[in-house]
Amino acid sequence: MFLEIHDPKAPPRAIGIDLGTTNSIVACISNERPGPIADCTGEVLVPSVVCFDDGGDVIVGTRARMRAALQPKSTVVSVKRFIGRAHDDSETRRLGPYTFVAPAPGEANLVRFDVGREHAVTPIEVSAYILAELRGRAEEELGRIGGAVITVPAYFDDTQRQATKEAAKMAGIEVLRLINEPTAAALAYGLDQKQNGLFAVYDLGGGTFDITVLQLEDGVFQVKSTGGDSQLGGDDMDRLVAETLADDLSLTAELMRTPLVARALLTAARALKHSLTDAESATFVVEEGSVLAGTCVQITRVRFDALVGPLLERTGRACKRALRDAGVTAADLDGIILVGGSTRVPEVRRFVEQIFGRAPFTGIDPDLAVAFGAAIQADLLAGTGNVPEVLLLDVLPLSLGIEVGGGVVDKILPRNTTIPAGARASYTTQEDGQTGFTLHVLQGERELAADCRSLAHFTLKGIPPMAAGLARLEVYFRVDADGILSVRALEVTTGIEQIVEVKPSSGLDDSVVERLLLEAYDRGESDLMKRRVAEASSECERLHRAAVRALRIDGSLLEAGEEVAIGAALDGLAAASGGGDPDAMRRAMEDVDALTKPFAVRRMNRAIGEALAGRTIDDVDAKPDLVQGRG
Amino acid sequence: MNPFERLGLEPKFSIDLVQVERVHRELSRALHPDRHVRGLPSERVRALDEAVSVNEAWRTLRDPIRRAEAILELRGSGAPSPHATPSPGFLMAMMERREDLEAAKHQGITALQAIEGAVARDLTETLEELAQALDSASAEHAPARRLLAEVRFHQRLLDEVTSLISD
Repeated sequence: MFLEIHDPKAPPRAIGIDLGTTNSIVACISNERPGPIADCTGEVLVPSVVCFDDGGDVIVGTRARMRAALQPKSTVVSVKRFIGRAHDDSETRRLGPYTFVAPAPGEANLVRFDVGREHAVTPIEVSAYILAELRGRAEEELGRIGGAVITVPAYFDDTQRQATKEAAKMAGIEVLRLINEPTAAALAYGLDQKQNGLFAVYDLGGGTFDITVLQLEDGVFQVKSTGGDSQLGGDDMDRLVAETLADDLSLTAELMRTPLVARALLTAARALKHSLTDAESATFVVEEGSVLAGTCVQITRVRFDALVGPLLERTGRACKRALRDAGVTAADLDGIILVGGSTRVPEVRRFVEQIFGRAPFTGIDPDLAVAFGAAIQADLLAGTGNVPEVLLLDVLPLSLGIEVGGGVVDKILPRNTTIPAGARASYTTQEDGQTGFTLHVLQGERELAADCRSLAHFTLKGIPPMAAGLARLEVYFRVDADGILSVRALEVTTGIEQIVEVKPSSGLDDSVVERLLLEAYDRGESDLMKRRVAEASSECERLHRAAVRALRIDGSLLEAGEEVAIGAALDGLAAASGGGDPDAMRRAMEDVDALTKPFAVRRMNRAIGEALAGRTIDDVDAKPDLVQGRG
Repeated sequence: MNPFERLGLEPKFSIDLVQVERVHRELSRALHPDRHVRGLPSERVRALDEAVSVNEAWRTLRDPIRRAEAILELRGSGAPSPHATPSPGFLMAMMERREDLEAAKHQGITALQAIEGAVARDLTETLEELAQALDSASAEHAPARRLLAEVRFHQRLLDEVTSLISD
């Protein structure tokens, strides 16, 4: 391997992360192609397994997976199935070796694993350990990391997306963007094939299923519809096989629930499933560690196929709905892309072919396509210009709404709305003299609030008493490009307003996050102040680069005196950036922001005008430098 | 927000949907937050606002019902137009359709598909009438409102039949 020499002045490289249920991967662009970042042994996949061992250490990846059979309770496998989920969710009651801790009064209703430590851990923390491992791996290879694009299942709801972002924050990773896994895979394929058309991405991973229909046209990837099931994947195949093996062995239900036995059965099931990819029948001898040690289990492919049939039927229904939502039929498609390790199962491929009436593409390793797409998007956002310019237009996977009378949900933004998106709705008071509105924000397709995911409750208070129906409440929903919601509520007659970020209910306040950062994630950077300085300093650098770039491209839009004033502010910014005082850095950034605002407005107005006139921003970028002596 | 203005189009019901898609793509290319990640902080905020409003305008214009609503709202001095009621004759016809649908539910997929085809034809015809009413020179809005109400009925029924067929 060549030793890469890092230019300390070059902008840090952006990375793509596929935070998978079973395995995670970090990738980046080198020599204009996406590639995975391997560890020193050449291994690309990081098993998404975190072991909290008896000695107080936290082990991540392959070594953690090896512990899973022996320390089933303190080794968290497939944590993605639990992220953003409530303690009382059905997922916590399924076959598995974990002990869950109920939230204390006043604590957020979240899954918490008892891993034999003083504190129970949340899925956000467990995910943060995996992300920190990936970050460390990337830093060893690339030096400084300039943010990451992290993929999430298209069907993740707002809470699951927020939780993923929070895990990244905890792991010290700046999230450039969350993108949907199928879209990422399509990006990896699209750049490979350079073909316009309509595609379906069938993504069956370890714990989630996504189906996405998208159109690629002139460098724009437009998602038409998406659907799926965030609790359906290869793990469920394992579970079904494990339950069958337990029946074959006449195990009691009680024995099956013993952590060591449950883990041993799931491991055996997984091994059998893998063997069946190439064989008609498979056998497996259970490893040491439980009463089942040495037992030989076996299954035929015919029996396996029959077992997983109902799971595949569920994916089939989602596929049909996604086609319908996109307003197309299977015959309109130009290709099917398979993603996710579970699409290696021959029965899955047969099923996909049957549903769509054509054989799927399998050009890129289904385990790597998502990470490659994330790396491409990260490179695009970082603007290093290593890959052709493309734009992703993704959609909201699940409808967003407000609970109205009778517990019914009024949908404000329907599923499959292109993001970023906004919509408003008006409501009024139901009772005379009502002085507050309570808003219940929900996500899901069902009609009743009780059947949808509750995202937030908030109250708009202080409205003067009026007769019923006179007050007018305007609620404005906005979903950003990461698919994350914020809500604004305004009482029109009085002007009382409230803006609510629908916060992740991780139950961790910032001080806890900082403590965790200090305790566990920082390699060498033991001082929190140092970390704050480093973060503020890289923000300064980014702002400096942004301003210099804007001046270089659109210097002609500057008005008299602006150039000098902005130049002085930029000098101040550069000085503050190296000064080590985060507060001074903030002030310098605010100065630059304030001074460049009118210039920024002119820049945006010009971009809009040119787009309406049929020109794109690419042409603007391609223009020769208009200001000499800058950049 | 005037969605036609936002996308630089004439405020008409009969619009070139291919052009709507093209304009949306161009504006997205210029305004999507991804294109401004390296921009100035105020540009990033503005880009998000602009992209949201472009997407909202696009969503309005590509859907005939929302598009018609937007035109009526623009012409009715901005106030939301009251929903007109369809004629008694239309309501009778709709009741019959619903009875047919109830019967078809027990007869199977072919019967449902026959109804789907019929409703789709009604919808297309009514949309054509609506286009004439909205795009003609006359300043009379009452017929357009009535036709819009009828379109809503047809669309709702069509959605219902389509989802019955696919389940």
